[in-house]
Amino acid sequence: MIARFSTGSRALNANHPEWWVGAVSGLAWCVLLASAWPGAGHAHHEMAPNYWQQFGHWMLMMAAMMLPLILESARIAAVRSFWWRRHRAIALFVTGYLLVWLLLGIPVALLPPSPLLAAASLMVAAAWFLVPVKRRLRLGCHLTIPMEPSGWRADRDCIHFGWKIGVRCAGNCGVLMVACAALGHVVIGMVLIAALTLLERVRPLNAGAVAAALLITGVGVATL
Amino acid sequence: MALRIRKNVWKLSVNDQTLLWYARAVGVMKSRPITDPTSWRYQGAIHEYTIGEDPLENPGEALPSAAERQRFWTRCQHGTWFFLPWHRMYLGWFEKIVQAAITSLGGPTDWALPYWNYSDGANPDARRVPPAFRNPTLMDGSTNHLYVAERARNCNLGNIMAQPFDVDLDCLTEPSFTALANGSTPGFGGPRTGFEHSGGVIGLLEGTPHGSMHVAVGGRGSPTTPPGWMSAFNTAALDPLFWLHHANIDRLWAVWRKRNTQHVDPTLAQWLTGVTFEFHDAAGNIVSNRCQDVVDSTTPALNYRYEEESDPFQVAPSPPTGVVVLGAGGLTMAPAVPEMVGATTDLVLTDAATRARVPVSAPTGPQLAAAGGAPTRMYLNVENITGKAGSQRYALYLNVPENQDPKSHPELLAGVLPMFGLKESSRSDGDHPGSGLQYTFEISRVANVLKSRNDWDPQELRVVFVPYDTEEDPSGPMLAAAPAPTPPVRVGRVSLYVA
Repeated sequence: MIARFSTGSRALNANHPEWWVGAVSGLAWCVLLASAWPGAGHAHHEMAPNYWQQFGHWMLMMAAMMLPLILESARIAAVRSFWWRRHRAIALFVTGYLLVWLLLGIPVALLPPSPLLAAASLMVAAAWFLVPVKRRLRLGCHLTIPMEPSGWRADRDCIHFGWKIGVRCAGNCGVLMVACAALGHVVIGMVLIAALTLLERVRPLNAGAVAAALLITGVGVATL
Repeated sequence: MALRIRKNVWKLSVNDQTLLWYARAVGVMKSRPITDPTSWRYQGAIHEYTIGEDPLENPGEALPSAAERQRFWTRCQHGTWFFLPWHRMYLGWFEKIVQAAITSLGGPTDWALPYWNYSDGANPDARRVPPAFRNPTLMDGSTNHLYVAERARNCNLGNIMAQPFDVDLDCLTEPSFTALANGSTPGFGGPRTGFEHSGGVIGLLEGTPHGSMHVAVGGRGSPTTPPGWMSAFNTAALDPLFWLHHANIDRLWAVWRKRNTQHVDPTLAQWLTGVTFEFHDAAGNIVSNRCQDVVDSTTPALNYRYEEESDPFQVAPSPPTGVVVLGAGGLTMAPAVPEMVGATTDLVLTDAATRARVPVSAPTGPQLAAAGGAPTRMYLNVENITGKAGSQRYALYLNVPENQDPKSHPELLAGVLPMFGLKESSRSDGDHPGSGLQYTFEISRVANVLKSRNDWDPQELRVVFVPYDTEEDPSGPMLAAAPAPTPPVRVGRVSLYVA
């Protein structure tokens, strides 16, 4: 049994070195779910969260919701690297990617959770679904770039790769993420939005863009 | 209805009217406005359409609404495992529209799209454009709707317009349909992707002969003139030859499956049913298909087969290599995990041969322990190829001595870079992420040749990109320098993988 597990884990690591990025996302979801569980952190919920709590929650949300979207890109960063630095390449790529969300989180964390802000964000996000530039940004999330094989330039290129994907991803999904934050990181909202962002990466949403926009608008109205 | 037969265009009898009816139907479709889904230009736009780059644009004309364009136009699938099934759907609905036009003209009711088998070694004319497509007028002086002026010069002159390696069928020997997207095989049919993707590695069939023949027909253009229609995604389907070319590519998919029982299509639901593609039928109604609808062309919905689906090699393919593992189902072959062992970045290809050196390191991963450090397969990846205009094709040779002409070393040819769709793939817009093109070549055979000559250097691989196009007469100097400069093409990276 142990030998079989060992063989399986080696195969997983060889074929999908990005596995741990998915694991980090899963862990972040667990923390988010645990913190939302009834009875959990009552004392914390009775007070308005301070800036750092807000910021921490934002980054946790990004790890949970956004990292699954970049698994393929993380794999590409690894595959295009020497074997001995594949995990380093992934870590640098994820660093560059999360740096974008970290910078976005600095002002977002200043905003207190508010149904009005959430509704407004959702309305903007719904309209965003119908704008051609969103499609361009969504496609840009599949970008690849040439990367040096070794040395500091290889590290730089991995970070740069993550940054470029992050910028496009933030442009594509940023308003929805702001809405999630304004909703006070409600888990059901995060699950729905995560599913929507995942779906639009793999299926043609042209026909469904209007439906998605209406759905988001409906949720926005419901929050008021 | 009896099964329709898609026939070899070069074997049509003198009295056969398949092409005459095709020309008449194209004329009918061309007379329809672009807002009509059954019009010639609408059908071409399904492949790709770029406002401002439509060569048939009429000033002031109305286009379909933005929502309709976004839903039905620019849907072509390249660099993905949907390449073959999507184009089969596309051809199938196009064929029905042509058939309806022919019927409305009083023609036969069993018309089927012919195919252009340019790889037929028994036909000395195979690499010429069929005569029916070469003259602007018919015998009676009327317009020949199969003629397009925007082709490489040799095409409409009736010269041989492609090199033998443009029509090579090595792709049929690839056992796997799906690319592993890990630096190794690009697969027969391309990499596993979603609907919107990065323009991943080009599958073997999509590279050659598909891409090679696109650019062989379209030519490379110049800094001041765009290439012929067949060279670009957004104009290719405006050339009536496009449809015969793709019928042949579709035929080769059937040939690949038939030549070996181990050649099978993907069985994952993500491929079979994961994505729904939308088209229009002959009445202009919206219709949709998933891959599972088109895996068998003889079902009533498609109802065709090809005149020739036999194995062009007539020999058993070599078995796949890999690591034998004992699984629940008995002995199975697990593909060896490849690792990158060397790369060089940022090359600029011009009209002259471009040489580069790829520093190579010893494997440190699974290949270190495998086979005593001697990898069984080697792959060369040419990544992130970008350019602002159409390009000529490039032949890629390995370890050619500095003072020797690569063309005198066909045994060192690693592969061909067709560059089909280079311009469109290079720009970041609503239809492409801008990553450029990526080709992968298995170079194990060339490496073995070099090793047998003691010309293999385990610490360095020398590559040379040699431009060629169809503007010259192939019976003359085959790889002569191009007559007019073309904008440079950038190669983001060349990398070597071992498995």
